Amino acid sequence: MFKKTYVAPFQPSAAPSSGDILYWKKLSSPILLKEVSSIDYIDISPAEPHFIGVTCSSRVQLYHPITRMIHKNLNRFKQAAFGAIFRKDGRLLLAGSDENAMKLFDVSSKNLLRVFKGHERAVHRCAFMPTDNHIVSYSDDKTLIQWDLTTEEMLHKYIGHTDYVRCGTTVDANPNTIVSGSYDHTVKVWDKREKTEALSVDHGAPVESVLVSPSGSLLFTAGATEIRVWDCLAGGRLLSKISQHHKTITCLRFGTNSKRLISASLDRHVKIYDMTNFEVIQTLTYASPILSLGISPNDNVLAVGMSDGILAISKREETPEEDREEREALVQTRRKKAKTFSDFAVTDYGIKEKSTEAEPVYDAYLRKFRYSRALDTVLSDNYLYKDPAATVALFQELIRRDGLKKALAGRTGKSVNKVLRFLIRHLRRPRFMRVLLHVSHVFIDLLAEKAGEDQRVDQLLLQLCDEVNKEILYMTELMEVQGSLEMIISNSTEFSTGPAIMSRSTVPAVKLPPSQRASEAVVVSV
Amino acid sequence: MIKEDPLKNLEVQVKNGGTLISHRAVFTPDSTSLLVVTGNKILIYNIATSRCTGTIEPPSAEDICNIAIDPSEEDTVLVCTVKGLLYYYRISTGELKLRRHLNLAPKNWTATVILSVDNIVYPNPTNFFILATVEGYPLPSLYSVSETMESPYFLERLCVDIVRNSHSLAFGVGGKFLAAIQEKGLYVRDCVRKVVKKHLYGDRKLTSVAVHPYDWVCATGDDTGRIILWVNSLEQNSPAKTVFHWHTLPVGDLSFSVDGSQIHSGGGECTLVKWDISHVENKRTIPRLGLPIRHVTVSSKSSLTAVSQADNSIKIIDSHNKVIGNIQNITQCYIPEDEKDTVASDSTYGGSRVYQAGLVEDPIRHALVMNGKPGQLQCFSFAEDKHLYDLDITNQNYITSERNKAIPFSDVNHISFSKNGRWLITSESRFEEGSFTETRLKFWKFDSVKQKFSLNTSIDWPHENGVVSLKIQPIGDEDGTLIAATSGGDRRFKTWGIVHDTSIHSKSEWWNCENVGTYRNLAAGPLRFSADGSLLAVSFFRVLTLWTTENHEFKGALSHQRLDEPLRMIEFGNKTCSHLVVCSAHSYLAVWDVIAFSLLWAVPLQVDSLAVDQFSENVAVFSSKNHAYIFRASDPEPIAVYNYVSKSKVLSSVFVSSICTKNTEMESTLLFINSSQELCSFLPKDFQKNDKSASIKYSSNSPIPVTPFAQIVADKTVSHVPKLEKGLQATSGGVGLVGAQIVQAVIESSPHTMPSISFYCEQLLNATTAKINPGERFQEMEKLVLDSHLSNKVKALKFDVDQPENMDVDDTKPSEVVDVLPDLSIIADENISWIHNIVFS
Repeated sequence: MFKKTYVAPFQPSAAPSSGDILYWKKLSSPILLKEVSSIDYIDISPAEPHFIGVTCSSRVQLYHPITRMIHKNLNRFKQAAFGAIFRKDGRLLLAGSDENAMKLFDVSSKNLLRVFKGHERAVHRCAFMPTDNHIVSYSDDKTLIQWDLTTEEMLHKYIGHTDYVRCGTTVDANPNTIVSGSYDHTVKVWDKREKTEALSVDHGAPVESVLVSPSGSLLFTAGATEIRVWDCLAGGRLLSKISQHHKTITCLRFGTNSKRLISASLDRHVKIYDMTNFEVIQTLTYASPILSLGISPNDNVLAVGMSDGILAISKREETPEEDREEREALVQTRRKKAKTFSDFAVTDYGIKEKSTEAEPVYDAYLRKFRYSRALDTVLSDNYLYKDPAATVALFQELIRRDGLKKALAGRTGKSVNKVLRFLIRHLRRPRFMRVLLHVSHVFIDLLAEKAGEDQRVDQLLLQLCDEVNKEILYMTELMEVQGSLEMIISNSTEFSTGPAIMSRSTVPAVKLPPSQRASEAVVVSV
Repeated sequence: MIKEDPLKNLEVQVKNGGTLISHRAVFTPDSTSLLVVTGNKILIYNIATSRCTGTIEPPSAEDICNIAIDPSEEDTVLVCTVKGLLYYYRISTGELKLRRHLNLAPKNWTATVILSVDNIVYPNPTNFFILATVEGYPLPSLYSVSETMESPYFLERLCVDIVRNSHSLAFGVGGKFLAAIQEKGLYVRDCVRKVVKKHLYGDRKLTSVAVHPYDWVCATGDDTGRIILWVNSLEQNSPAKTVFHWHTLPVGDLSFSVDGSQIHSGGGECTLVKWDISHVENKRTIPRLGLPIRHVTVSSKSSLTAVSQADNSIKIIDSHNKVIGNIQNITQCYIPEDEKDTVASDSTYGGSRVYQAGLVEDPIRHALVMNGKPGQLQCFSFAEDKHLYDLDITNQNYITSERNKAIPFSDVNHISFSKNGRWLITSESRFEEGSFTETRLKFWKFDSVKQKFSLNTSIDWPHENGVVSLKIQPIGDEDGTLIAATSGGDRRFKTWGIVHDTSIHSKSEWWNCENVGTYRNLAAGPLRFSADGSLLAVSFFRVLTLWTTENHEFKGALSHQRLDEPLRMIEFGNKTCSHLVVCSAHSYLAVWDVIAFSLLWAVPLQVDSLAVDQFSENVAVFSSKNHAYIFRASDPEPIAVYNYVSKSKVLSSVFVSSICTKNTEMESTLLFINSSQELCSFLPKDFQKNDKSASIKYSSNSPIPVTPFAQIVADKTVSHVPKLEKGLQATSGGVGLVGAQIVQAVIESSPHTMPSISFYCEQLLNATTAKINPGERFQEMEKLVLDSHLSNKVKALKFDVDQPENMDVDDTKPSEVVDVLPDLSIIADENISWIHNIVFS
């Protein structure tokens, strides 16, 4: 059996997340709906059919996720409504307002059930407590109040913030905590039982949105252009800072069962992060600054509200299952039209013909030990621009077969230029460099006698020399960077020896990067 | 020590590795079986199934020089040994019919004595010919042996200076025409008319000869690849010649087809060529058969061709040019003829080209894995003595040599299996002086559905100048912390870990470099993991460095001023000796204690191979004089010594799970392979090799036979081991208590990967309420420290070594330790104080 020349597949470093890119690409281009003014808040009902609750101006509108039309309209507000959210079962809806009060609605009947009065300023956000019938309101009077849902009774007023409280949340895993984020740059975690402040972290900018991971261990705060990640369990240790936006981040959400973090910003972008390493895996772009964002629990609907009152709802499009059958039917009809059609019954099971991949031309030449011809085939423009890996693989195979000199010798004019052009173009690529450097050595040795004969060849040789010099310069710079980095790392690793120091330090752990050589080594996952 | 140690009652047996290709295979007249000579016996292989169906073993121990089918009685094979013993065997039953002796020094001869018989042909019932080496002649001579009335075997010398190979003699035309090749030309003889002719052949050297079955025509092959057909060679002085030239390398063997219309030839090109003798241009080639062809035989019926190849296999090819059978014994490593058996770089296991990756046991399938065909690994079942399959590692075509030089091929240097057999790591490299070298590290994952290894990750140039050592951590990979380590010619060692793709859509994993380490810019040597996988020992020139596997922290370096040679082999001990490292350099063997950071003992011994038993504390070393010593790492007194166990250098050795279940006293068997490519084993003297029932039992039983005795041993070790292991853990810093693990988990692991904190609460509370008496622990530690200090004294040399230059032992001072970490007692102190730190801070 002749074994084919192995052309190493090359995957750019972002390749592993390609699944994610495909996943988010399935969201269709959004349907745009015009609202009267900027959209303050979007919440998607956790229960089927996942109504989209959009708070805008003095009303809350519920959109149906499939038809994407207005389903219900709650407009029992005299002034602007804010931050309407659904309860877990999707039956109750709570919204704050400029009337210094919170209103509770029944979703199905649109009835106004309760009004919670007690704040001195507007209530911008509110939240349901996860286990009992308590709710929390976050107000511009720098306080938050815990209410009893059934009796409309004010249970406790939490005082401590020094500026507007504009965001907050409750934690499913820990029903006794209330999280609030304020324009005084702090995010505070309150203990419901003792009515005290359990934790306070400083975000460094007015906090626009807070989020707590379902396990209750991670706290995400968004303010200005930065998202900060805090470790609640380690007493508010700063774990990471994510700054991928260039304008204020307005909204944070979890996607895909809390495996992804989604942020929306005034810079018109929605970014989706991987929760394990906080790296951006997808960016969505919209037309105007984004104020609010909602995503349904199964990632099927993404609603984005913008400052100019435009609501964009995108739906996930699953490829229909019957697609395959359709295609098969198409094949059947095509067969019937063909002359060779014979009326075989369509059976359940067919034996597939073994499809053999066509052997590349260069392999056919290698089989016959015709090295020079094999090399000729892979020096065409097609390989030069589109598939240089095949050419390099062939070079490598020729080296292995001790046939490189034979293949390169006896070339004149155009074919010399072709080899040189290839070398110039691809010599500096790290994954080709070793092989191509060896090839250049051999080839220049062969060309040495002919130097000065052909002007074009000389020109190309000078170009090649130029490329090599550039690479040397680049390598030197890299070494310098590596040197200075190593100094920093060796200093910082001294601190990280004891686990006790690690847990208290606010410096994020410095990861030892693999050395330059190691990262050069091409890793291929087959 | 046990009174009758089973280790003392072992016997070295050659298990396998006998060559199948020293002689031409012979088809039985009905073409259903193939007779293959290996050493002093004949194996009968069935052609349809490629299985060995029988053995003919002449009573004499000397090697067989050749065999021939009796032309008068078809079911009879004539076996001739090098000493001139002739046996007539019936093939179908394997019974000995007749036994004769060739009188190699007849009375009527005066000066000549036949030293050995090299070849034999048996053209007709009354007369056969032998090639024999005669005193005073460098090359063999041709003798005719005929049955006459007065003496049954009358020897008559016909010709001298016959080429010394098994293709230098051929007969045809119903046994009337004999052809032989000499250094200078061709010798032909009409056996009936007793006409002889010699033809000179110029500068080219003839390599093989074949004779047409019924025409007076013969064919010769030479070292430039030409095949010449000689017509009328008996009648004319310059006979008509036809030249067939396709081969570039010397013609290996020639053979006429049964009807005489074709010549089959093979050689170094690994191609079988079928020539049509009436048309020079009309030829068929069967390319890429694998490795160079040594012999070509054609069957008398059903036109099969048997091709013996350099990798110790025989391929059977039918008339449609299809390979229908493959007879394979243990694959022998192929080295091109004009190359030496050494490698330019010392990155291979035993410094040899043959089996450079050493012997490794596949932990799940209990097979021996080693180098096989170029770029491939062979899997060999030592329980059944059977070649199982080949695993192609490099996936590259074998490039045949050119006329003047061989083309080096990539071969596997190192193999390592993970403990559960799920991962296989190999490193391959191709070295060529002054040219481009290739090194590749490959990670293979066992696919349990397809039951085969599939390539997971391939890393080009993991190290500059090749990989020196490669090992995978001996732990399971359930918790995802499995790492592997390599050291390379670039004076570094690297650790590799599994990366899991975090994508929510598909699960994939691959290996990536985790850490790179160096030590004082010294050349990195072999590396090993400790038995529990917590410690990595890397040798740098003469220094043994220790690193934790968890966070790649440097623990310490061990060296002694008198032990100043680079370390060549290191191994961790097992069971109660798991804190000991056996190191071997060019001229000494030393054992270090990694808990006490001290040298335990050292002996001057040139070690070729070192193996550690997984099931006991035993360590086996093979000295350069081919003695085997079995000892415990803790004690320099060997348990057993075997002298001259091998006739050639021992390349690699390994303890495998026991072959013999009957002998219940041993859980493992020591196997080794030597440079003459023989696989040998240490087996109890009473162990029957052909104990079929035992081997069947073995294969049907669970992989590790649990015998009553093994259970007793296991009980005993359990009672001893925990103490020591606690000590080991103590050095690796503060683990060992339930509470500590929880607190560490809470503090160190990243919060988002943790479950809710309430999950830990109960465990933590339980842990803190559990009674931990620090005093007890402290006492234990103290005792351990004391023990290790006592054993610190270097013990007297007890090895019975036949070397003149004995190292002066009494002078050897207690070890000098470079870069010692805090004393053990300090570690012990810390051990108790960690909880205070956490509680009160």
